[in-house]
Amino acid sequence: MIVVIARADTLDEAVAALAKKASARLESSETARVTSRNISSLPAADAAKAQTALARALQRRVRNPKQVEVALTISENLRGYLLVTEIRRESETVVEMAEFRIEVPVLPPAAFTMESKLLWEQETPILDIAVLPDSMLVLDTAGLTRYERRAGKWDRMSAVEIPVAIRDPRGRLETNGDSATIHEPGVTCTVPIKMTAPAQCEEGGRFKAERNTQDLNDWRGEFFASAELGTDTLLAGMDGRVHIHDTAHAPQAVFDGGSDVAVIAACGGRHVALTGIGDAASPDSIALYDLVNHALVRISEPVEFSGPVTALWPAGEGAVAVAWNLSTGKYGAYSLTLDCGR
Amino acid sequence: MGRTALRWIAAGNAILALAVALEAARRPRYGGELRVEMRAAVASLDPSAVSEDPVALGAQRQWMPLVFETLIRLDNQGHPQPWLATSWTHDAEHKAWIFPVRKNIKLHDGSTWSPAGGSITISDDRPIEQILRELAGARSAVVVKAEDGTLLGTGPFRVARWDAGKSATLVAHGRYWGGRPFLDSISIQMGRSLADQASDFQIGKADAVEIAARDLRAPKQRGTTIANTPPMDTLALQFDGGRIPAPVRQALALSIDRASIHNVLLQKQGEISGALLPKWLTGYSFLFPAERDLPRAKQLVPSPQSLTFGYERQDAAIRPIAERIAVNASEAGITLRQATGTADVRLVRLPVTAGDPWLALQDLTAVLKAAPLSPAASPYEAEKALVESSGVIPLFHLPRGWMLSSKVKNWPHFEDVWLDSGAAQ
Repeated sequence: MIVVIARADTLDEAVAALAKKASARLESSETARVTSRNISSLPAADAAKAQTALARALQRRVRNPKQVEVALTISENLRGYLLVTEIRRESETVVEMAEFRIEVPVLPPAAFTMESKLLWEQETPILDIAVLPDSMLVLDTAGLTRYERRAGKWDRMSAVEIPVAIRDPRGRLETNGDSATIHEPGVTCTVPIKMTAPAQCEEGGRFKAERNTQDLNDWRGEFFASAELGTDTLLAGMDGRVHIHDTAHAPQAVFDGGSDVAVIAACGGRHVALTGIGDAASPDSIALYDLVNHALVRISEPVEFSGPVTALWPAGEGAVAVAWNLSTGKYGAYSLTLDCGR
Repeated sequence: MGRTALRWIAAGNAILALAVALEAARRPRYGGELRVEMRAAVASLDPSAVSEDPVALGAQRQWMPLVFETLIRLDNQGHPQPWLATSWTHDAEHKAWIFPVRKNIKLHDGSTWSPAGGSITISDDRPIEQILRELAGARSAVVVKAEDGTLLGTGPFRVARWDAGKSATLVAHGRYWGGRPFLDSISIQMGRSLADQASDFQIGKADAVEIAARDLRAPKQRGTTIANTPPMDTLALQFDGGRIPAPVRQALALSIDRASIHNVLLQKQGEISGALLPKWLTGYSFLFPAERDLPRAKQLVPSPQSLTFGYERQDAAIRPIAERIAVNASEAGITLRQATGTADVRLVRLPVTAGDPWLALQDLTAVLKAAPLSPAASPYEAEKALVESSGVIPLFHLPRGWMLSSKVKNWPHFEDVWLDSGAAQ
């Protein structure tokens, strides 16, 4: 008995492949009586369809037929579904198998009032992004890359290597005239935006070396993210909570939120965007909040992302967010803007 | 929230990573020591060493990828993915496979691991699927022997201290190509009974301890964080050599009432099975019979038989099952007499060491001291041959459970585990 597992992309293909193999195993005088059972998560309707299709494929006209039971079992393993036939004779049981996978469709994003727009997508983790009038700068774990828009698409023009090799990598990109400042764990670099000269880097800066935290040597100590709203300061702290401090730095409240906060100054006010508390393998969201009596009050529907949000930084009148797409494995940089009319 | 750049997980950890998702985490925090206890007494993490003790082998395969890495790894669906290699392609003559390796891979002594030409060439005419599977196996890990004999790896942790079979300390590899792990270190206490582990957990001496499958519910109801895997241990009867006649082995297999043991003693945790590998891994385990047939068992042994029977008495989860098996066997006319040393038959835990049936069967072949698998066989054929040739009687597939301190986050991806000092203890 030789069992070779056929692989297929659809149930129909798998049944056809299995039927071909099982048919070859039937003696010329044998006809199949197909029984089936489903011990997988495949819907019952699909399982019934598989049995019918297999029975039809094994149909044959023979004189003096000898009926044998062909037991179809629909099972599954970590790679997908598995169709198994057992041709049961008195003397032996012959086994044949075929595998197939069903791709799960990605659900469409929900409607929201804070609007997000995909700016750039790539496989290397994006740390920050800046869209300038004539170019775009992408800071990722390899370094800084400058793109220019030509014929409707971004062309890579130049790059400098400033690698980040920590888990949960972080970095911040700030532009000022013709120069860009790059903050990465343990290092701060400046480079001409057009990269006409090498990056000048020095040790130290806002991100701690080999860590994913910031430390500005002030009253805040070590923290993940910080934002000032009115006279209050919001700190995404080391305990995983958002702490609200007043102007005298006295703690006022603690909020169970994410680890990234950014102020969005738009629609005549200052609001704070805050990430969700999902883990690294789950979809995430960003919602907008206002501070009322030192308490955060949500003022927008959350913007949903199909994976974890890995960075959130203020940008102009909005913010930029980076999210890792669980389906594609790519990092997407988004601009977040507030729709003042809604 | 926080995440890491790396999605694919260690071959050994891949299975653990199928564990039930734990509570939501925020941006992870660096630092701290994770204190782990386990029953296994692992002699070495050397990938080439295959422990004869199945429990130790299971633990070795689980921890080894933290220190020694492979060119290829299997993802959660068991598919090969680049790891230390970035891709694979064949040469111009179609005679060899070329595996370019990542740049900036640092060994644990700080030196760079870079094969000549930046790639590894493998001349092998087997299908690429087989080659990739083999390269994902623990035995294909990259190990560099230092001048002093130390084995250097490329993984996220380096061995700082190893007291064989007793304890070990793994320290974060600061220059790990995938980014330094969040933890500073992992301390491992080995050879600890489940009772001792539970005691240490309760008094705060350990952050992660093992828990028997049948005991998973109670601590969960008390609010303790529990992480359990899909079935990864196969409880089986293993015979000592081939001196027990096949009819007696078969009768013993047919005498065991797996259903009542599963319902009562295992509290319905895990799965009844007659296969070595669990359903989640193969999908075909139902092809191996597991039903009780006492009349047939009695036919096979017309005269009374007596066998010596061994099992790990310290394992509180095993003992009642062994006792029930002895009762079942006696109903078929087979007396199982408890033995402390060598026994005709032993109740053992056989580990599922990989997320690929072939790799898992290779390790089981070594543990069961069976003949090597035929490379031409399908996993089903290979497993069937292994069961028949070794005479092993698989009984149940059991999950592995861990009790975790509330501060342990991102378990069981050890590279990404971090300790939340703000969590309630």
